[in-house]
Amino acid sequence: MITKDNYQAYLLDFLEGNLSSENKRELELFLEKNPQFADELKAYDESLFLSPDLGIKFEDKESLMHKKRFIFPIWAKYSSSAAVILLLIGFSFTLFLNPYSETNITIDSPIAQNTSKPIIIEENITEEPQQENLIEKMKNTSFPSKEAQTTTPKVVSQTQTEPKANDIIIEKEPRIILSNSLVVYEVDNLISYTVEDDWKADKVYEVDNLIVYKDNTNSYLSPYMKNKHVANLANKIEDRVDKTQDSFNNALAYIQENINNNPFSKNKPK
Amino acid sequence: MTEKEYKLCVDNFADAVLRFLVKNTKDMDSAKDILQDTFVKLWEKKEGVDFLKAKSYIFTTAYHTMINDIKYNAQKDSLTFSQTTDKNKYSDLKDVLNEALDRLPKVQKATILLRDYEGYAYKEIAEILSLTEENVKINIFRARVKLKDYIGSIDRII
Repeated sequence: MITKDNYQAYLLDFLEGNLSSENKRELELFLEKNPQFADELKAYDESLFLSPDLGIKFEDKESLMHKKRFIFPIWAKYSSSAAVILLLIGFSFTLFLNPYSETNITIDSPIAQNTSKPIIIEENITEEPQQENLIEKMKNTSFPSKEAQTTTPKVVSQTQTEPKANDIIIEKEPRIILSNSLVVYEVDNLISYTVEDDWKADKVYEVDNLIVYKDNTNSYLSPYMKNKHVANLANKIEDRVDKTQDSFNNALAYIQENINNNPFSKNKPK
Repeated sequence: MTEKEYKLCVDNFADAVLRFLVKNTKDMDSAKDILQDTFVKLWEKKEGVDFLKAKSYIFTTAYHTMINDIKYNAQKDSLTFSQTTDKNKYSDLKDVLNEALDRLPKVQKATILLRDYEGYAYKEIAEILSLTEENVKINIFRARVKLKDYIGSIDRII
């Protein structure tokens, strides 16, 4: 169907000899009805072809060859700062976290003694325990007891996703239950976490700053942590998050609320 | 496409793409940036690009990178086609045609450059520019009529 909007395409085909006889008739009819367009046939000059300016050449073809050298595309100019940040993060891993990666930090270790400061979450606790007391307490505290551990199967079934009352043994220990097998607790700015399966009184993993963060769809362990224990935990967290979404969200909210502005930090022992 | 074929693409098509980009953007630096960006994209996607279709891929990528370029977007299509500069300074038809080319609306310019510089078929031009084939023909027709117009008006002056 030839219209005022597309007749020029037909004119071009006609001039180049590519119009079928049927379309040719249609075009003739169209031009009879719209004689004002007929002149355009004369205005078209096939001979006016443009020829490329061969003087324009891209001299630096080597730069496109990717010989171990990479050209910065336009977008990369803006991502270079992100790369620097990533490098710094990577560097901080090696600097701060690796020393702990192969060693289980025990409660008795100097590191634990130096860093474990009590954070009181339970409202009924108003007095801050002395540091020695805390360590003593932690030693003596019946963390999920060995009996509990022996009765807890290694593979936690879905029916166990809500914490049972007798699983929460340590009333006064600041902690957040993410599930019946994942526990998060906070010691000063250090947030510690463990899986009850692995949790023994002499085995605490401490990692500075945020443990778990979440984007729209997924939950992750903080990228600031990297050691084999965290890798184990990461798998376990990700397996469980969906099943314990509410408690996870609560824990996350708690962590986010407290991580930057820790209301307990004023209680730091002198 | 293999790395070897990628290099053939650079050797064979970089100049042509640069000419196409320079004519469209009227700016050598922008054209080079877009060219480099285009070849980075080709390098990253080379496994998925058929060597036989690489030239079209390069022109398509270059064109779409260009129309997202800020400087190119800042250019306005000239509303009046002719009679603003001293045409007597041009000595031959080629210069006149180049001047006329600069006065075409962007899409007509891109279309006719692919047709005349690269000899692409209308259908291929349509694919590269994301237009219909009919639209390509209309643009080419209008562009050539305008070029003829422009030269005709010079003839009258000279």
